[in-house]
Amino acid sequence: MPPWLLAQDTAARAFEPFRQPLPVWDYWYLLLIPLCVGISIVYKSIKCREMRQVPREASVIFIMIMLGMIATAAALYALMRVLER
Amino acid sequence: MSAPDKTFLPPPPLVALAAWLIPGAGYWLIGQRIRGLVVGVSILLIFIAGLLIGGMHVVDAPSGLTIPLILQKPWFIGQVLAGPVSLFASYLANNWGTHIDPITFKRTIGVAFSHARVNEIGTLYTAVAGMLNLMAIIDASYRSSNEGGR
Repeated sequence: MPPWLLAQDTAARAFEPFRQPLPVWDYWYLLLIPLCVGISIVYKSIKCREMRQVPREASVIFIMIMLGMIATAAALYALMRVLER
Repeated sequence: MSAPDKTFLPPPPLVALAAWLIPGAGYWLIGQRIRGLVVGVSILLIFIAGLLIGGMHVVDAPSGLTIPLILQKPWFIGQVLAGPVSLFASYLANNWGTHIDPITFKRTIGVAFSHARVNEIGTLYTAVAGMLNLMAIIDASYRSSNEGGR
């Protein structure tokens, strides 16, 4: 089967969860968000003495992680632009 | 004189084993049920999300238990810390929908391999779930040895 036909055949097939990878090619970077939410909840559930503190503490650390990642991405982008010159 | 009020807590190795078998079960055993539920459900959701993103083949068990074979797939060390669910996922990845092609008589796999970013992100999710479970195992064991210190 020629490659172009194989590609069409693959695209035409219905997505089967767990048997095929999730078709998230164009917005893979958004998958950072659920991972950070999960890490924040588990980390703060382990760390906090009282479980009632967890929602607030997890929200704070989630925002801090996201801001840190955005700042790192911006810094690396700026560095890349400088090195390109 | 009254004896100090001590509640029975299971020994730390038992708590650690339960926490590995079912994420969050260590906390459940020492009486911290809400913590166990939140930790267990979160870890399992992260692990399942990883399988959904990259497909079952993101859990790729080494073909043997020798150190060189394990070091060829170091991410499995993180994944297996999530518990038997990782071994089950690895089994499914290699056996789900596998059949012998009637024409070529070759074994055909039923689960697709993922590549590039999707594979990396799926592997990351499953390995992070395992590492978080390691933290929960250590913490639950410590709490059980520390007379239920909360």
